[in-house]
Amino acid sequence: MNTHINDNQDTHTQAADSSGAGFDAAEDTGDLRKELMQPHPTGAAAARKPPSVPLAPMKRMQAKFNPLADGMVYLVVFLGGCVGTALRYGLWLTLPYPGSDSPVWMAFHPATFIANMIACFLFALLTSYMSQAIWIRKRVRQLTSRGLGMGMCGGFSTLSAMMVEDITALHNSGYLSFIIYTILSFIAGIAVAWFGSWLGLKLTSVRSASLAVADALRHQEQPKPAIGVRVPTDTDADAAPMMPHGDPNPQTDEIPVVHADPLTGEVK
Amino acid sequence: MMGEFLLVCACGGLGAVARFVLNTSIQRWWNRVFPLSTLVINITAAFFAGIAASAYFYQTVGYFTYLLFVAGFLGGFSTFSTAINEMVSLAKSNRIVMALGYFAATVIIPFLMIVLGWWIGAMGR
Repeated sequence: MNTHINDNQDTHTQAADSSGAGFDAAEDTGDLRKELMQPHPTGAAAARKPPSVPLAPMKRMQAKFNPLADGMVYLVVFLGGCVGTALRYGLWLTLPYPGSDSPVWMAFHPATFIANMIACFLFALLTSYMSQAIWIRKRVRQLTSRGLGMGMCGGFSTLSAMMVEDITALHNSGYLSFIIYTILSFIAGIAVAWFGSWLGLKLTSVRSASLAVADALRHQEQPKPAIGVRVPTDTDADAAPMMPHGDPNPQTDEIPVVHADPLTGEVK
Repeated sequence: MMGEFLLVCACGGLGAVARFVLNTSIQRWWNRVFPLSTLVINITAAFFAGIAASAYFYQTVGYFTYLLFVAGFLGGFSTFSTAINEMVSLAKSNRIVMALGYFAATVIIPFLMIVLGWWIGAMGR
């Protein structure tokens, strides 16, 4: 905090010096850029602890400002949780615990393990896909990641049932199987999730590459002049376009296009 | 049979909604990278699962109640996929130590909580 304030003061004094010493255009723009790069709050915002403005009471009730006031998300999460639980419970009914007595596989419940692995894969795929899929509307992405990701995959996978199976095995003194089952679940889950997120990025990269190509092609097509209008042919201006198209990392001050949290993939 | 199945599913949906509310509430004041909300959710779920498991083991509650609560509500409430994906994304963003710490916490603390829950459930025998 302190260093920031000092920096700001330095910039200000530099700016004053340069304008007083003489009119040097290059230095002037440099100082201006420096000033623009560094935020210099004034008034109450310049205090050591800037006051945080609370949301107006009516805005707190709106879904736009408060995710907990979003009724649609509750519905979507509930339905997703129902479907996920139905899948897990159905899998558990069709694939009952074989009741092994061996010390290695005593804790291993195939239904829980398979449900966890499928859920890990789907969640990773969905999260990485939704964090990149800018061609889908934001609200659709938000509801999809809430309903399918948080609701369905979260309800499909379960840690508590796994822990119950672990402690049941421990109760029957299957110590080795407890360790094997837990470690196997986590290692396989991480591998599957890694593959899922890789696949999601792969799928979106194909789509966004084709979008970029289409965009570049659209820019290349010159609009045809109307009949009878004389178009000045300046070859130099044509050779050096104002904006380079197809730059993979354009340096702009625009808001980044991806609105999703890169860590969780959640669209806020 | 069908009614039972649907009731378990509805409990799972309620568990998912409870997880959404708790997750959002925790993320409102916790603004660090460490995924505390999922850890808290899994710890809570493991604690109640321990109580339920011991209550069923000592025949304090019937099988259907146990099923409704553990396979339904707690199954929808606790999540394995979110925890795994948070580990993967932590590791991908080069926070290896934090990912390992989160992994250890996700294995050890819920296990201790389920033992504690089992112990508490066994007290009321």
